[in-house]
Amino acid sequence: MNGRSYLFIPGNSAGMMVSSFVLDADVLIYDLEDAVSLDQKDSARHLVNEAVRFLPKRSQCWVRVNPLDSPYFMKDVDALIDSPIDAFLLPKCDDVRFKDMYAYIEATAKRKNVHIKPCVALIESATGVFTLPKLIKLNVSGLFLGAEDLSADMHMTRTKGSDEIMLARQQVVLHARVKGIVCIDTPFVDVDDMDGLQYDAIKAKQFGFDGKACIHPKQVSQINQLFGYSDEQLQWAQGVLDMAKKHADVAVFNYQGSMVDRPILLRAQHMVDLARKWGLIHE
Amino acid sequence: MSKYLPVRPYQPVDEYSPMIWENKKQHRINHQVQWLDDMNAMLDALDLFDGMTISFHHHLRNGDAVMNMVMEAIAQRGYKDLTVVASSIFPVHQPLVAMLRDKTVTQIIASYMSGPVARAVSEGECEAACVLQTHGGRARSILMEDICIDVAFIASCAVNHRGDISGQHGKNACGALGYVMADALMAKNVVAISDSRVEFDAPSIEYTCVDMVLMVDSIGSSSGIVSGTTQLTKDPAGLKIAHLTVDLLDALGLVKNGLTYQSGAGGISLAVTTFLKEKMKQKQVVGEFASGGITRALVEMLEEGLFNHLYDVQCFDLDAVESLKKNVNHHEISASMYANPNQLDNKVNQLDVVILGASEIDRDMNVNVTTGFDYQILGGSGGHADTSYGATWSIIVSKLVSSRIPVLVDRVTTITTPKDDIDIFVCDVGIAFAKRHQALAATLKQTTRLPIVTMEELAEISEKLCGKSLTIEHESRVVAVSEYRDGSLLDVIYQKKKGD
Repeated sequence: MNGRSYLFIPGNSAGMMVSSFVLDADVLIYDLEDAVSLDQKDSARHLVNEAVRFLPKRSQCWVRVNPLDSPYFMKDVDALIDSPIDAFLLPKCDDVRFKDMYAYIEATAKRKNVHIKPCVALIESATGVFTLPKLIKLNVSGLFLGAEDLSADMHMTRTKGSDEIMLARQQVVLHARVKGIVCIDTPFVDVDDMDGLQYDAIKAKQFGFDGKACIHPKQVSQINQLFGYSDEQLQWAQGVLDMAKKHADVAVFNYQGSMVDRPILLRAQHMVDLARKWGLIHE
Repeated sequence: MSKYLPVRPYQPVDEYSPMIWENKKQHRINHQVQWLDDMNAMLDALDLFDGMTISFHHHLRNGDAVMNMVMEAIAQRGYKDLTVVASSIFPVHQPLVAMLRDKTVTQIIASYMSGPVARAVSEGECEAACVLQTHGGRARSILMEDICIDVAFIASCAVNHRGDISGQHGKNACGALGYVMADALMAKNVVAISDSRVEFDAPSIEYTCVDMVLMVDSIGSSSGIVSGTTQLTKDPAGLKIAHLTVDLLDALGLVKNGLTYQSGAGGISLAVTTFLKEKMKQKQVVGEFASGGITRALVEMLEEGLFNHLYDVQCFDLDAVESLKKNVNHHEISASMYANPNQLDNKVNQLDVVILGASEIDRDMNVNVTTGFDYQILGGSGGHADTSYGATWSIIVSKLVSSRIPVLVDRVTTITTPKDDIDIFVCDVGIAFAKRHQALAATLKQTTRLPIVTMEELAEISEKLCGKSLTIEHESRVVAVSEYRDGSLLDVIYQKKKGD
């Protein structure tokens, strides 16, 4: 599930969908919820269902379905449960809502005799943040912070410094780490402020997020760069792995003056695996 | 009256022979230019006849008023069967359509054609097949007298007391007048049509070439030289292509001191120039020159010391016009010096790299920028084939699928630039090299992060997205031909199917 950039694509835009696979986002999130007006909910679902089966696949592909209390949630799940998407992104989650949505998805998968898709929880309400300890006891595959709805729910004013969402960011990362699942930071909504995006993404990375949402393709490369690895980091990781092959008979060895033990070796392997997946290094 | 038409089939040429040419007008130093202020008096003074060949230039692009002004006056006098040799035709030249219909004009020879006239030609409204040349090929054909011009009507931004012509002065200054210099040197009669009489040195065209000056209220509007094709793309896929292209140039070792560079005026090509600028700054390199149609982006690079010289055959915006006027390292050159294949010291032969667009490209890398898939004429070579031949690396940049129409096709509708002259295709899905560069492609694939693919892989993705292209029917009549820069016949353009 690990990605650096998570790009939202409106589910009602055929033009944007058809070029989405070339935009270098690690995860494309086809959106059936906020980006789609009520009169286009059915056509968007149909379009997304066709697109995920038809378009060349170069990234992971998630779908943000409509909320549980809408008339569309079940239709979205019914349509997409047997499609080749990689995950459902479930909106407005708290422990109870996630449990109910997951139950429906699980039952639908069983009924259609297909594997259940991983379900990522969008945390965008005070209750969502507050019930994280209970939520991570459920079958949640990732946590995704949605700061805009959260701010409205918390009566907060959103600022570019994002101090107001510090607690939520920390809570999301903390609980993702406890559970051992991926955590994704909220999008930076001023798409013309690239310096602001840089600042916000650096902050999110410092908090420990694995990646960040994008609402415009031009945000992708900056986020990929920030949440990826530098050439120097990859050279170090590859060097550690090369050295480990030479010292296969010892548990601890020295590389560039530092001790390498099993956790460091695993970290280097993880970096190289991800970098390969992201196309940063070749076979 | 027989019309000009290339017949010799295109063959790849490694090296051209030098042009043997003499400026027959240079001795006319005591020559007196005739000054007129009335169109009818001007036409009376010329020896006009049915079947004559007259020429115009397109430096004012869609702001040009001279061609319409002259053609309407000639049409009123009832002359027929004219060949119009215009360096380009734009939508503003719509009045020509009626003249095609009443046979005032029976052939057009141009390097680019768009708008209502192009539509009329595509629909078979022109009696003889039109000829779509390259910019360099046009200069060659005029200087070598394959095409003989009876009268060249030159929209002149300014004239001075001697009758010299300048593109850089006057109320409608449009900058370089590179495309009309061959006409001025070779036409039997040259009429400068101007709305500004001012004094200046260093003319674009010397008075020795000029027979008459006609002063008019307005030659058009220089603001029309900026067109929609000269805007930087905002399309994320287009921007990705531009970034990929600059990364590719870097990987090929081309972002270096002494770089010689040209780009087309399409949105993606302009984005490449913008990103190249950043890369050159980052690597602290200085290019030797950029050439061709000059834009603000290139002017800024000259002013920031990223290029030593600009060689300008046409200004694409008013910043370029201003720069040409004030910057001694911004040089006006003729179309012959720019791209005439038989002028061996031409600028295109010195290019390291050219970045160009495509309406269609096929698996062999033939490129079409002349027609749509439906045989509708949409443009023309301009300098496409010239620069592709001359540059060490000719790089085509385009989305793989544009507005749900595939750019990569089995066979291009019209060959504008032959496969022998194209090296690389960069699209939003990846980078493909011509077959002759496969060893290099394999090396780059192994040693860089560039998404190197084959044309076959791209074709597979394109077909998955768009389906198999249908064969579009056409009428049997040939309405135009695509002429290679050396005067050979590259391809024919059929009349659009009626009712399409």
